[in-house]
Amino acid sequence: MPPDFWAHVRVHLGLAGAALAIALVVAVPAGLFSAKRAAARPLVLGLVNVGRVVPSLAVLTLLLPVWGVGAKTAIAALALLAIPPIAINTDVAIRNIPMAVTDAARGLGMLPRQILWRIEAPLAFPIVLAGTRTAAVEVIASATLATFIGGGGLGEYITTGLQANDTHLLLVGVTAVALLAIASELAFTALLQFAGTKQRSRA
Amino acid sequence: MNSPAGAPVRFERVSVRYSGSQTEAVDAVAFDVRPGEFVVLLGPSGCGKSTLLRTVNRLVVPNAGRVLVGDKDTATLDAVQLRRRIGYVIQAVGLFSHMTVAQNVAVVPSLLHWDRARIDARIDELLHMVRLDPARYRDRFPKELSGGEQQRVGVARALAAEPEILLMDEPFAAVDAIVRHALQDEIAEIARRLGTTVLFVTHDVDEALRLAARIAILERGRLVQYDAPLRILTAPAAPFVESLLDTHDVVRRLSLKCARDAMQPPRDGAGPDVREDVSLREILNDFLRGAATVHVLDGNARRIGSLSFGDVVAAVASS
Repeated sequence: MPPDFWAHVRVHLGLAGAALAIALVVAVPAGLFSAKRAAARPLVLGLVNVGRVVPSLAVLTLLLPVWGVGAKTAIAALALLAIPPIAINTDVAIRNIPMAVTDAARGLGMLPRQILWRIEAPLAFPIVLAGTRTAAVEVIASATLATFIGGGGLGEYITTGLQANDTHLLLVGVTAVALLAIASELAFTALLQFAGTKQRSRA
Repeated sequence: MNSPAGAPVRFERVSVRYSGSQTEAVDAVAFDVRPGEFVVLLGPSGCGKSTLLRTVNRLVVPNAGRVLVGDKDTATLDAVQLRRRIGYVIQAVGLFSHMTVAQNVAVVPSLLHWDRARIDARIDELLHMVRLDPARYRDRFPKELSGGEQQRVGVARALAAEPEILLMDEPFAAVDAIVRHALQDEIAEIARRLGTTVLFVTHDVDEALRLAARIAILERGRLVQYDAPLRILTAPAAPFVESLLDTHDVVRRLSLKCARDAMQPPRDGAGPDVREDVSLREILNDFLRGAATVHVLDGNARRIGSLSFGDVVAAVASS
């Protein structure tokens, strides 16, 4: 185990976590907006998809002159990557709620905000969480690139390993990133299942 | 728990035109619904009956005319407050799948901030009313219920806060015939017992005849007849009404069945006598002349049964 291993893991998870948090703050309202405004949907989803179409490395290069090197630029690029799956799942989750359900809610005398928080949010939650799971895996894998602009993380082992032809170091980096991605996938899956059973058993 | 008596509803030349449409979905419809009356809005799909129904709880806002609930113009009332006084049941039920049966039923009482104990008591009362055992059903989720059971929960949810008016939009169209008949009988009984005013939308003539005190027949947004079922059957006011009855074969079925097929055990009470082989269609004339009961005689002039108009409709509708 190379020195500073856990510090690198912490930085890596920090980058990924910050990016995911920013993505959630942007993507959930964006998905909600596009679900409610059919006219705005192509524009919103088109914008959101920019994060998916442009390679992360290119985003880093583009942001470099603006924010310079360091974690901030890396987090922005990663957030851009995490936004599409969350926004698209939010949009689909809200639009998939049957008309009858929202019609009944209105007919029973619920205010728009009550419909949002008591009906739409809980019904959409599992699908939004599934989108977040996808985003988390992508972000953890891609956070490796942060090292190119001095953002740190486990990517440093990989770049150093490649440059120094140090297979051992390279493998440490690659394995650690893979394990983190798998762990995050499993954690989110467990969370989804827990949310499902909680919803089903709540009296 | 005492429910308030039903509120009257009055439609005053109500028109609705959806944006982008050339024609009125509802065109100057005017009629009155008495407190506690069971009125069915009948017509083919696209005739405007659901739109008209939805003006009552302001899910649809009329372009012209007024809807009065309990003598108050609904345009002057807060729509959300109004809806909490009006029960609403739709064909697709629209139960909240992330909530239990009990939570679904409790939605409006919770919105009205009833206390916990009162809500719990009300849930059990309502589930009994719609014939679902609270002990078995309270904590189930909608997807664990049959279609008929889901609609029972839908009805319980609509009745939860003792509404003065119950709006039902083709509530039983998606359940099979046997369950439908049971639900029809139960909703008629519940509405009568609670004194709730009911507006019930259907395209099914038999259902309208079985349930309604009066039927409002709509054709392309216009009201073509508003009358008691007996009058609709015997004095259709427009060719459209005749053709509506024709498509459902009601008159022919009345002709094919005779007194014997529809009669119930003999009852007391004044009323004309008819022979057992007289067709139900002919018997309608006796009801038209004001009879409440008709007595059925066999070939030896012995009284073997009695009939009300309801029995006639039930016999025809169940065929």
